[in-house]
Amino acid sequence: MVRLILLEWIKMRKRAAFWVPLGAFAVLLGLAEAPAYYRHLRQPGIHGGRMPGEWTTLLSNASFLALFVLLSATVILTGSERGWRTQRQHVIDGLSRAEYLGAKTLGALMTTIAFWASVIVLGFGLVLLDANLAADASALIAEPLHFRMMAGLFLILVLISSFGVMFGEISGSAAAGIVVAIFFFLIQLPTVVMMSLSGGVGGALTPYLPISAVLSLRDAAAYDPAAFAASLERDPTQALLPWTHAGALALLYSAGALAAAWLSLRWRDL
Amino acid sequence: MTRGSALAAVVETVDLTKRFRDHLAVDRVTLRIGQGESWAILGPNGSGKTTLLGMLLGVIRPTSGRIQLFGEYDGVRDHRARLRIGATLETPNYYPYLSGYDNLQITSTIKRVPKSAISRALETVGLSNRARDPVKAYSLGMKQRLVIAGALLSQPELVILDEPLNGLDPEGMYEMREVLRRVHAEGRALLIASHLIHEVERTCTHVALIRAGRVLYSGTIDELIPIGSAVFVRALDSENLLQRAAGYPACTTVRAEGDGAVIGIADGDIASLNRWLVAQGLDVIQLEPRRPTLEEVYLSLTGAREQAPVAVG
Repeated sequence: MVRLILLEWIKMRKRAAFWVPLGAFAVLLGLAEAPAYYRHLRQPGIHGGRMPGEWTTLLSNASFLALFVLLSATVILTGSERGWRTQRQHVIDGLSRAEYLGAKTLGALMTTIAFWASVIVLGFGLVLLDANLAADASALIAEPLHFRMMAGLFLILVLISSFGVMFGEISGSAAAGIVVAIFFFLIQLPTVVMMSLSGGVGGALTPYLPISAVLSLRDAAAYDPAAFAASLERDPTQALLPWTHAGALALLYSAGALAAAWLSLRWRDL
Repeated sequence: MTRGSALAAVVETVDLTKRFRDHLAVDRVTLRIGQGESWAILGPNGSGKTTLLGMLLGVIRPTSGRIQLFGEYDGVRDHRARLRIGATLETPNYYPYLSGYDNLQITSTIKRVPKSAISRALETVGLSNRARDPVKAYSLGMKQRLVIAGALLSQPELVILDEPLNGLDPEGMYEMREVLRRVHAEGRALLIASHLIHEVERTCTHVALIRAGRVLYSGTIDELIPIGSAVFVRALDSENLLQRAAGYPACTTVRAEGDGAVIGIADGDIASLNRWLVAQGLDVIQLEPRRPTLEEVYLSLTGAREQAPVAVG
């Protein structure tokens, strides 16, 4: 295990395809927060942008942005190994195919942790900035809901990076993998709406699509039973699951994506 | 024609076959490579050399057949044997953005080799002064040398290289040849795939001739090319010599040399050739047994003889 982590770290520590998306993710997320925070500075308490309430927006934005940035990064980090034929060389050098996929999975997990940590660091940075303006700084850190949402974001990122590994592994090239992967998630957005409006079996299945797990875990209502019930009462057709169910679904889909990657790798000539 | 090795086998294949849809790439190949032997798989492009090596290295799944490595590992299912092999297939497979040193660090991590071996391997192939440069800045010759460094990193018992002389300039070819000879001299088994007949003849002691996925011969080069299987002939009517010699029933190859011809003969019966040439009206003035080149033998075995004897040279 340590050997596989070290193997991926040697590759990632100098890899632009890891650092550039990570930096872009953090910068874009920061830029998305900037207007709200600026308004908050100008007129405290009137608009949003104040911690800890702003965690909800920050974590929700992060999950949406990760759908493009983290997904692309993991597809590139996995798919380029086929283009460079380094995947083949690893097996020639003595790695089993299972060990190879294990290494890529650990690499994707390291990427996920880095992306997740960048969001948390950014959030606590906002907390520190807010602390200068508040009398009771300890009240600003985060509420239990936000800690649950942080866990939810991590599960979203795990789901996204697992699909990134799958598309990177199955597709012949990183570029093709990115296109297919983003299309896979984007096509589900209108599908969810249409299926939920159609009712019947389609409507019943809507909350169990991969994108539904993402949408549920980024929605604050999924973490609070009262808010969850109220939300469904307002719009019974929406694809919302309680966060525990959505989290389990995300882990299930992650395992499925990695299993698909394994099946592809196991039988293919490298 | 297949001859086994008396030494303990590091590679043994039995009826190894690979079919890509309706294309039979490797057809029932049975091969035995002993410890410390130096082998070449020789064949034209597309003959199945790389596919055969790919199966030995676990990256291509055989359709049928068996591979045994080092006498104890199932070469298809058990990856552990490859920790004892240093190898690469086709083009150098490295991370272009990483340095040569970093790339070898990856290899050393996989093979559980101490870091100290990296500097030693780079020194062996003369890349120490460029070790920290990114591989994308390397010339093809430098990349090939890095391939050799990677293959030798773990002091493997078996070194497998695919077209190791491809893209090298004459100096690079000389250096590579010396490295390969050293590998052999150190008692490691060597298996290279090549289409460069002259290089194979210089580097290896054993050869497997392959065409359309089938092994036509495997064994020592000395056994393949016995002295007397070719004859240098001079005749008074040298203009007709080449044409008449090509019609000799046991003729495998004919090529002009000076004012005579070198004639390959399948049965090694020089007296019979002499009688036949005289019967054809030629005044033979010199007959001298020769050892044909590997190229001549290769051409005769790979089917050029089936249409007409090929003049080589």
